[in-house]
Amino acid sequence: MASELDFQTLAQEVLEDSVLKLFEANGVDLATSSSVEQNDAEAMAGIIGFTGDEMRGTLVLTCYGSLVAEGDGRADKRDWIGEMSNQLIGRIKNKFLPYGITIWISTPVALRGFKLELISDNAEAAVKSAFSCPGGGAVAFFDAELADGFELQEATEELEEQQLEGELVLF
Amino acid sequence: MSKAKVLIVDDSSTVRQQVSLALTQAGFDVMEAVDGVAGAETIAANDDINMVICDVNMPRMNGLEMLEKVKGEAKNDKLPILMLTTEGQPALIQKAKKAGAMGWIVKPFKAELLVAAVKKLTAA
Repeated sequence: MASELDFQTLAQEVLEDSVLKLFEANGVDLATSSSVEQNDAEAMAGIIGFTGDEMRGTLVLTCYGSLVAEGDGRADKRDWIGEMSNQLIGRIKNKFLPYGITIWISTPVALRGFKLELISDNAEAAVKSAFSCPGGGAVAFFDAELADGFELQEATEELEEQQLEGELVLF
Repeated sequence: MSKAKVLIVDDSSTVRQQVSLALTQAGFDVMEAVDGVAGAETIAANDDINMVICDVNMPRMNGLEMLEKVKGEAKNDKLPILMLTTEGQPALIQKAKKAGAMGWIVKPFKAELLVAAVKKLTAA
């Protein structure tokens, strides 16, 4: 049965919620923002490709300003942004599962630069969300190419065995 | 009494550092490997590893492939392997369980939860 929810609306909700919860789990409170002004702040971007029967595409998580600076204490900023994008696509993947959407993800790559702006001409399934925090912010960009005939299904509640972030199960 | 030794297999140095910090603070010795190939080689070369914590999505050899390879050797039959990954898909969890994994954690991990699991699995 087709859902009343269109994919782009679902993707927007999932992306926004996933970014907020990812950073919250890492001790950073972000607020959603209507616009992003990176100015001359250093930016780091983590990029992950994904594929599946229903779609394929790219997720990009860009962090700048204080968010990147707060990575100074970490062993490797490139690795850090790569792992953050990895955990972000993991959350998105897990939120898509109840809708019958399964994606497979690649290992992340990282970029460093200034004013890393992304655009897409894919109006069907590309969504972007911006976030701010004191002295910095983040932009998440989810760009999917949907398979021919793709139709978003109603979410199922039958995934009792699905594990969520932070959960542990011992066999 | 010697400390239990835990091998951390993850391609992210950030995660290896976080796990290593949590375990060393809890009194464990740790070793690290950057992917499934290095993980399997490290296990083969070190008979004193008491437990393995392993990511799933890694280059060269992923964590499930490493799990199957390591558990395919009789000497590793009782070696506890805990999967630590962003994946929460039931089919993958079942596959890991069938291959001999002892548990599954979805990242990001809570340090106290991880340490409790390691204590339990290394004491068994």
